[in-house]
Amino acid sequence: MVFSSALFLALFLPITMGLYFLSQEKLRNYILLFASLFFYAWGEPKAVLVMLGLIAISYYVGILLDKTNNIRSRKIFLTTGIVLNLAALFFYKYWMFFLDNTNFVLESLNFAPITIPSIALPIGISFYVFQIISYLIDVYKKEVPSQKSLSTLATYVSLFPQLIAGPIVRYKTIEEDLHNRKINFNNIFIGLRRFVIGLGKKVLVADQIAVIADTVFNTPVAQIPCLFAWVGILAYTLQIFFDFSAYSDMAIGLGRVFNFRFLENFNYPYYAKSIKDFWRRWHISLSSWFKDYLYIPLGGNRKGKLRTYLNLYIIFALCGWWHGATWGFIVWGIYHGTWLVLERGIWGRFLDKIKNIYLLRAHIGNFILNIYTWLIVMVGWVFFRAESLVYAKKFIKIMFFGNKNVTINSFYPATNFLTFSNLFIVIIAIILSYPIFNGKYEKFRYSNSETILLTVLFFVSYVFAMTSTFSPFIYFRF
Amino acid sequence: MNTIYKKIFVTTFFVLLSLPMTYCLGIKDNTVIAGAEVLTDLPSLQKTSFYNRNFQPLFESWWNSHFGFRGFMLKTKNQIYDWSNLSRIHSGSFGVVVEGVDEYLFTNVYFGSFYKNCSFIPKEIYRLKELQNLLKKYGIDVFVILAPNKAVTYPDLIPYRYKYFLGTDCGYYQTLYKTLQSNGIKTFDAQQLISNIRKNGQYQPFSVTGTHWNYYSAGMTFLEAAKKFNWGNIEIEKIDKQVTPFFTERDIADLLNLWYTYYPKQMFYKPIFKKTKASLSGNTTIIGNSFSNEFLHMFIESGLTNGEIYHFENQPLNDKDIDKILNSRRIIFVYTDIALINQEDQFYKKIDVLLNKLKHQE
Repeated sequence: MVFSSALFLALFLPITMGLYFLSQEKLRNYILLFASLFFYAWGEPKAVLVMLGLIAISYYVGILLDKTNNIRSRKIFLTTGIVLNLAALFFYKYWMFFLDNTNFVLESLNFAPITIPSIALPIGISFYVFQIISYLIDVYKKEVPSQKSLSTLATYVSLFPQLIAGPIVRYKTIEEDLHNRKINFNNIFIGLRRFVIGLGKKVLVADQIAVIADTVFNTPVAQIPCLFAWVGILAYTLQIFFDFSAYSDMAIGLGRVFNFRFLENFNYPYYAKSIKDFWRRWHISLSSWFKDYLYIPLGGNRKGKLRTYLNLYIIFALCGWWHGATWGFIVWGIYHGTWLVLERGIWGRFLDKIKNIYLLRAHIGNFILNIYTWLIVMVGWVFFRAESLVYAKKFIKIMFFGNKNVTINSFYPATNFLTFSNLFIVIIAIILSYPIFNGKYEKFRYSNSETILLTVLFFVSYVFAMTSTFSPFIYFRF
Repeated sequence: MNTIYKKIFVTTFFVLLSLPMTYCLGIKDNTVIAGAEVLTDLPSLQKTSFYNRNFQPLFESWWNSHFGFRGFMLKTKNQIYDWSNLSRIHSGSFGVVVEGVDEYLFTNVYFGSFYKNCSFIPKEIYRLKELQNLLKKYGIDVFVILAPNKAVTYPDLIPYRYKYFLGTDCGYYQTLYKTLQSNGIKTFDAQQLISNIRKNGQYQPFSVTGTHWNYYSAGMTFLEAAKKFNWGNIEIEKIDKQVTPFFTERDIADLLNLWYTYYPKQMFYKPIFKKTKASLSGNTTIIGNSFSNEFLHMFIESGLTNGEIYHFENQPLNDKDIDKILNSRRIIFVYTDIALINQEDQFYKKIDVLLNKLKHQE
């Protein structure tokens, strides 16, 4: 059930909100838990048991961690909890990947491949497993006490606004909110405002731009002219940001409606002036998770240059792999890791110089660095979007060296998206990728004018979302 | 910030969110939506159907097509597209509706006639000759009417963004016509006739708002084909002109589902034939794509035959159908070039079925 579907918007959400707001305070966590489990079971009726199993295990591990001060025992409990969660993640998400690669090797050596039934990937498992691990580590570090109520822990892990696409909410962030929440009209307004912004971004921007990206990437790579390769990847660059950040906006907004405060997940990533800066702004809940729970425990940047570079490679290879069990995601992660390593060396010093070129004003230097970041990130998204590494390699080759076999006007699929409305949306999307509402436009936030605008925005995006599945036959009279 | 604005916003949010559930209370939205849909019935909930995830997609599909005020929302969405006046592209199962120059509506699948690679003609089309030869033994004549295509008839009205990517020659149609002729198949080039009518005629052969040829051009085609193939002499008594469409002449415009009527004062034309003595003996079978419907009507209204007229469109042929076809005196295939270049089209399946049957009988 996605947030922009008619089922969610016009059935699940009003019923859940109605029950929540009309119930007694002590029942509200149970209502959220029940709604969240139903939300998850709607898409993954079997996998809900996996999630409940991991919650139960982690609940008892948390209790055990709290009960003992023996460091060795605590380490054993923590390791057990983490290993069990990662084992589930590995089994459901990565087992088929390993098997496919093993079979590839076996077949190339003329051995019979291993055959087992395919395993369905439970939606959102990467998100909730990381949430559970953060909970266990924080309890181990005694940053938070363990949760004594199984249902409250289950509410935290399964909370439907952030369950299937994040942001990765740490237990310590909402621990207080889990126990003590009041219905607050101002928070409902702020939450709905954020939800509407997210819905608008998803339905009116991301879904429209997706047509461009999908058309280009669904075309055999040999038929794509250079210009449209760039158009396609620009569209995908905008689509993935508006789609993902829209989901985060809706999640943060819904959380706020129920009086939970989730941390921000995006901070204008395409405004970044380096890849390092980009990762401070993109999917913040994931990058900070990796930083706090893996990069720093591995030694971070405290053990010399080479170790720092190795740590960065490890983190980003895993970060890529976390996104999906394919080589494309791993290469995407390593690609970003490589740029981060480069930016820590001579390349980084060169970028600093650009910023301070004698003849250029600072904002021109910043502009050049921003273009550099766009370029690197866009090339990276090719690995993320392409169906295979071979496709990605050919696509990047066309981007930089052209495609002699085709001319621009032989790319007929472009008629699917070459419209003034799409051009308008792409320009708007690029503008909205920058913090234009900061500074002198700050006054606009929460103003009466903004509220009127958002009311209209909600109406428009709502009717677009609700009717997106209408697809009648044209020959209706026969 | 004024609290009243906040209250209006929050109230609007919850009212809109709850509006679709009014369907469950029996409140009906009377907005009519054009377009045929296959509506899902409300599935019954069973433990196993939910657990195996059979129930959820069916329920979602039911809800998507039944929620309250769906028609209102759909028309409002399309109206927003229209007001934006940036481009009008509405998705439908049959491809995409495109607004061309002078507000002419096209379904973009017909732009395919201008694809640059026009040399491809399905091999199966040569099997028509084989079928013709076998049917001759049964005393059945085969005719092909190459129906016109709106994009080929009005190439100047195709939007520029499409033209830029298309070739200038409608190669499929020309290659098809030559192929059929060179195989000795009696073919009538309706595209040529209709293109001339468009240039020199008094009435437009396609309506602004429909995807099919109108009755006027189907009637003129029938008249000229009857002359060419010696079916008989037909004359037009008058042209019936009216504002209400005769058949599918508003089908794409209606599918736009706008709040206002798109192109409301357009004239539609239909030829009325002089009463004539039935000169065609025996039964007639008309096989074709959707364009064959207008041709069929003209055939019936001409009164040229007293025999039975059988019509087969997109449905597969069964044994009874084949018997009817083999009891006919003539088979008229009415297809556009786009249908004939699509190897998946029922046309080829029908030829195969007939060929198999005839070979089996031999």
